[in-house]
Amino acid sequence: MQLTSKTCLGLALGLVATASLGATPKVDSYTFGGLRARALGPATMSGRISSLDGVSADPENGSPMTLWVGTASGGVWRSEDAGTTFSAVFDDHPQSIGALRIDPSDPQTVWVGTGESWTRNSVSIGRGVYKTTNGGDDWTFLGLEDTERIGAIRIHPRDGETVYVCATGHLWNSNEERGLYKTTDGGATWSKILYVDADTGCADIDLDPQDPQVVYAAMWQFRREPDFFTSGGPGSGLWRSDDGGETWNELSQGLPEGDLGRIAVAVAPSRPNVVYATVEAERNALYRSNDMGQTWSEVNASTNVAMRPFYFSELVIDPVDYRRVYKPGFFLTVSEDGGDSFSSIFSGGFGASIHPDLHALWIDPSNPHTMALGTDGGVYISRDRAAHWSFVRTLPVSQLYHVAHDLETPYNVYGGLQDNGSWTGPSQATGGVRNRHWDNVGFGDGFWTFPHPEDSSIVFSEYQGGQLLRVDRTTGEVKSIRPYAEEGQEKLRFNWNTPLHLSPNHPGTLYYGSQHLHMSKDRGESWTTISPDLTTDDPKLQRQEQSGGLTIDNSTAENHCSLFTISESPLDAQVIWVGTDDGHLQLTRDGGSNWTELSDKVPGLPDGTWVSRVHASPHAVGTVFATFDGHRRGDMTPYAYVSEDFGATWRSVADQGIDGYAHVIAQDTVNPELLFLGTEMGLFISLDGGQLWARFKENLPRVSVRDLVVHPTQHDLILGTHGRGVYIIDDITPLRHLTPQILEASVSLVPSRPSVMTIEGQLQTFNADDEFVGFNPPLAATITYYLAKRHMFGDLKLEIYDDDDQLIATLPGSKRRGLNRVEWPMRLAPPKLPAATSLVPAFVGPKVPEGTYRVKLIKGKKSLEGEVHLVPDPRSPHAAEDRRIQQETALELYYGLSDLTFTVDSLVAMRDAVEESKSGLRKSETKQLESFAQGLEEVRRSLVSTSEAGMLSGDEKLRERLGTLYGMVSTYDGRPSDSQLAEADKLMAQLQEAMKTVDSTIHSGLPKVNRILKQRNKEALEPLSRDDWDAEQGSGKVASKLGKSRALHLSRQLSAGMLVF
Amino acid sequence: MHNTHTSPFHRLGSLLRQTLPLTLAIAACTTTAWADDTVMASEKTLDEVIACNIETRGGHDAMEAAKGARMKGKMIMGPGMEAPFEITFQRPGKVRMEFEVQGMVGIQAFDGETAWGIMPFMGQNEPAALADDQLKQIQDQADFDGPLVDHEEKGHTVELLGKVDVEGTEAYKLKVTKKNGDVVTTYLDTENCLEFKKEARTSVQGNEINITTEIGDYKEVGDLVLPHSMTQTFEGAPAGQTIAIESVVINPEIEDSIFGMPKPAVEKDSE
Repeated sequence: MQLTSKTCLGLALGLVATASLGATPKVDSYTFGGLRARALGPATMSGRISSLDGVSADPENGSPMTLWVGTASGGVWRSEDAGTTFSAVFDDHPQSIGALRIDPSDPQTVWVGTGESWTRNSVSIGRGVYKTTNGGDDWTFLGLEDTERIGAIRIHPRDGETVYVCATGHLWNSNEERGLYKTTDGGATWSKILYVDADTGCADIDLDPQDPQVVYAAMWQFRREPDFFTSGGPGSGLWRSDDGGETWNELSQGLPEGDLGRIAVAVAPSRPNVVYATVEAERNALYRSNDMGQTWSEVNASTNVAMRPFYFSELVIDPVDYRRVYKPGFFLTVSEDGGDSFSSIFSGGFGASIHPDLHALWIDPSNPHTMALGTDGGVYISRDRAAHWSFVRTLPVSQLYHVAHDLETPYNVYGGLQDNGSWTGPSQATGGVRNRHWDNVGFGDGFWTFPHPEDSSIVFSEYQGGQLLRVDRTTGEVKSIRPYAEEGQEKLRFNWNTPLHLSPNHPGTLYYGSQHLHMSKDRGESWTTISPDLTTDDPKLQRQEQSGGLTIDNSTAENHCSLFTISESPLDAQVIWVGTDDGHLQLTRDGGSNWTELSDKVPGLPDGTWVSRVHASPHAVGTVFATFDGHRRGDMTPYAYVSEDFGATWRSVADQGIDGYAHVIAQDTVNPELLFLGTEMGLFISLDGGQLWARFKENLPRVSVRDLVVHPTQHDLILGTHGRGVYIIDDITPLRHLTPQILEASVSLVPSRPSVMTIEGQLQTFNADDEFVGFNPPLAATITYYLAKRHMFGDLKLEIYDDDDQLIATLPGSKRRGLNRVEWPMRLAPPKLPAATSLVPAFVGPKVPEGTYRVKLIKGKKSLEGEVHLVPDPRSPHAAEDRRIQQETALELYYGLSDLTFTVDSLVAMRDAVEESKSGLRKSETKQLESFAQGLEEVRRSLVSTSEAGMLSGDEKLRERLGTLYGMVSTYDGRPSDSQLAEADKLMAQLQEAMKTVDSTIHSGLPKVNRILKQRNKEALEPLSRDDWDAEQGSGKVASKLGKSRALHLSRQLSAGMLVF
Repeated sequence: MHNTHTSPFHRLGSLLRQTLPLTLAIAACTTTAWADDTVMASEKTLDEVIACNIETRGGHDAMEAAKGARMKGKMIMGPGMEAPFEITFQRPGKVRMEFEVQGMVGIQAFDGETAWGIMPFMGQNEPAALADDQLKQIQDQADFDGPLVDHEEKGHTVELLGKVDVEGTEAYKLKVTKKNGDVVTTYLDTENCLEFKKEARTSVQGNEINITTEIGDYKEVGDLVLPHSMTQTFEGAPAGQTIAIESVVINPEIEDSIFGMPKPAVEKDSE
């Protein structure tokens, strides 16, 4: 809906005068009210899974297997149907999950340790331990908030109050809230039972299932820095307690000497004296102990056992066979001889049909042939002991780094995913956005992905470490287009997540960042370096080749001293902003000839803080917004600033209401006061240029928002989340109009974008339930209003009037505090049909024509007016004249159905009245009445289906033919076929004939009947009057401009009430 | 999660199957989960909250004086799909609801003992007893005053869990454990003590599903204050189904026979 500016102003002023609450408007999450984000996926490539647990099927009560999934950054998901469908059950809490464990004594009780412990460069953070006692509906926070990440949880097998939490602790700095914690009162209080130092956390634990007082714990010294990772140190070690954690012995006999790194430990459930451990050391290997850890011997050091211990430290022993050892790693290997030898379960390993990089494996204890595997790309389930797998297609936990869009109708979104390539998918599709709608446009770890602004068959994408690609979507051919060092230049340094930027002024001009800024005007065929080294070029911050600690791990993830963010001013192509990962904020105002470093002008910002985003204002050439992210140095503060003078001075816009370190900021393209900020803990919106922020949480989890963009023509806010895929907030026009005046009024209509009368596609599919489907935006006009508080008393409804001031629809209103959205399907009321024995495909009323409609918002005794604009689908191939013919024909049939309904109702009313009058009559008189009634019934049977066989009876009478034709004509937006038009004429003629027949049947027989009744002193019968019937159908006399054109028929047929909702 | 687009015919079929019985049964069962988690202490006791609720709704006497009621309105089952309905209550615990789609009338009723229905859209033209799931729901529906009023006599347990913020509205959060074991979490606004939202887990064809009901548009009808709008949303669905009540008559003329299950008619078709 849109208001003219005059209306809008008048409305706002009027309300301020009459309906002011007098209090300062409260802006919080509820101010955004019923504006919902909708999840689009993709789930075709899912995201990293960090933890799994399950409950076996129970044949006694018939309950299927329950599966719980903890994800790296997409929350907790529960399946109660053996993995067919999943529900997200943890959306209000930190989405990064380290460990998840079901209480063996109560399957409704589940413990969640937040903060993933697979500490790769892009890992998120947690905030302690949570518990549900009702299967995930409610969660209680149980503390250990500063642990940041939890490696494992173990629950006493017979005492659910006794729980061990293995707190890995901070990744990027020292902290003391780490080590092994124990509660014996269900999480009310905790004791730290094993602690080494502030740099060493707990990586893994296990309990002896026969004697749960026996506890094994792996301690791990580790640290990440922006350019470096260290696994291992003197703090690492393997420990055992035999008294539930009171006292501990370090286990070392037979384990490697010297510094250790990450250790995974697993007790064989079927023979608990056998314990296995993978140990990172100078030589990474699997060790086995046959005496509860007293002595160990190395049994295997094959590649998959030894590889990347910080990332693949998971070890699972078969529940019934102590010699069967599973090692999820880069791929899945299994040993059947207690670890002496391992073989790949998949033929060839690399040729496997499942995503590599495995972090979790759950084996059904009641049926060890059933297992679930958590990978970097989602969950797989096997029912034949890992021989074959099915992919869970319902988990949209994809981890986007960036998001973009094109200008198609409907538009497509583009984005790169952690370890899952780059993808594009539609913002809406017939039947919803399904996995099959997503197309792959890049591989590896995906980051920035853009369509060419003038040719969306060309897509630019990239993979880790600066590998830039140009994809031709017509052929699928991919060309590598990365720049190389020019003569005399140092080796180019590309960030893991290398910045790619499209010029907003010169469509097709690309920017790409190493330590320099590069520009290409020929789709990446050639590059010009337009800057010197813009970073600190500090050799102390370029250690990626030595990164990893005990196990070197140089995956480009620690590449440093490189550009991270680029923004050309949409108002001046010479003005380009660049931010680097080592804290430089650089500006050129002459297209790259001269650069100025400005980070020291930013007040309150620690030196060297990673510039996570620069965003040149679309409103003023000297204005720029920037976010900074210090989390890789242990600084979790959200930093967001604005400069209005080309970076000479800066002020913070992140003082109030923000949670989580900041990834991205954007200024709305229309209202400069409207700002969007994405942090590790969600989306935040400011209506006042950054003074006050509130988290947007309607259908949007507390998920990491890594990127966001406002669509320039659809006015949608598109979010790229790292853990829950793409979200869209449809039409942010109302946010642009939440002025203080509106916020102060008790009720206000708020403008929306014009409503497109989207052509509905048809689709026959039977997809079942095991696939995620992204919701479409509603196929309806949207009317938005703001309520200062929840509406409780009296009506809250919307009335829609056409330009003849006829009421054509009444819609129930939404009642919550803040913005409310009501959808008008842009149709008249469903057609009226006479009673019969079958349904016909005619359930909705005809579409109204495009144009402007008046909206009246009625709230109790108050009433506000605005407008809603309906515009044709821009894709529509139908000429205006064709649409007019369609609308008229649909209406003719629609009103014809009303006439038929009245006609049949009058037959039935007369038939029943005659039947009721029979009592006390002579036999011959009764017979005459019965004959009359029977005659009426015969006519009725000729007009409507009466076969009890129902749907497949083939019993088609005028009602069914007319209704079916109406259904076909009214659900196609263009000109009906000539055959349909001829059929319409034929059926309408039959209708006229039928009405005459009914009329004459009643009027020819009725006098005789009434004579008999009169003789017997009974009341004479009267035919049903159309006026009475009309009045009964609803209140009010309604005509429609729709009715004018095919005048003769329609003006006669406008039955009162037929259009009243 | 599913908004499969099929023909309107398909849509209505499944809609009717899934929603009509539930829409009829406005009250249902079990747990929380969708409101803000933070629970604050309530300054009112449970008894005070319930007394306040009854008072705002017109008081105990006015409720008892309403021996029966008839409500008419429309059910909005999906975009552009709506059906007129009529619901009739009579103390003690009788209810009958009718709704019409394409001239065909569906009925569900309960006379205190037998719950029955006619569903011509599903090819069921003769009265038949309702399934156990539906029986539970219609029993709830037949309790005109709702479970809070005289809850002890009715065998329900009600707990006041505290005050919470529901979509920006401060509310008393009450947990109602029904005599039959079902649990409903209901929210009353602290200003008027009126129910505006409830969350329940109900059983559909033997499977449990979470349903949220929003309640509003309270209006005076005689001495009573009654809600005139109810919207039910199924877990995972993009939008809910709404019942809009357009007229209410208290103590109308009611024939007692309408609540009982009729004997199957002999060879009679659609009418």
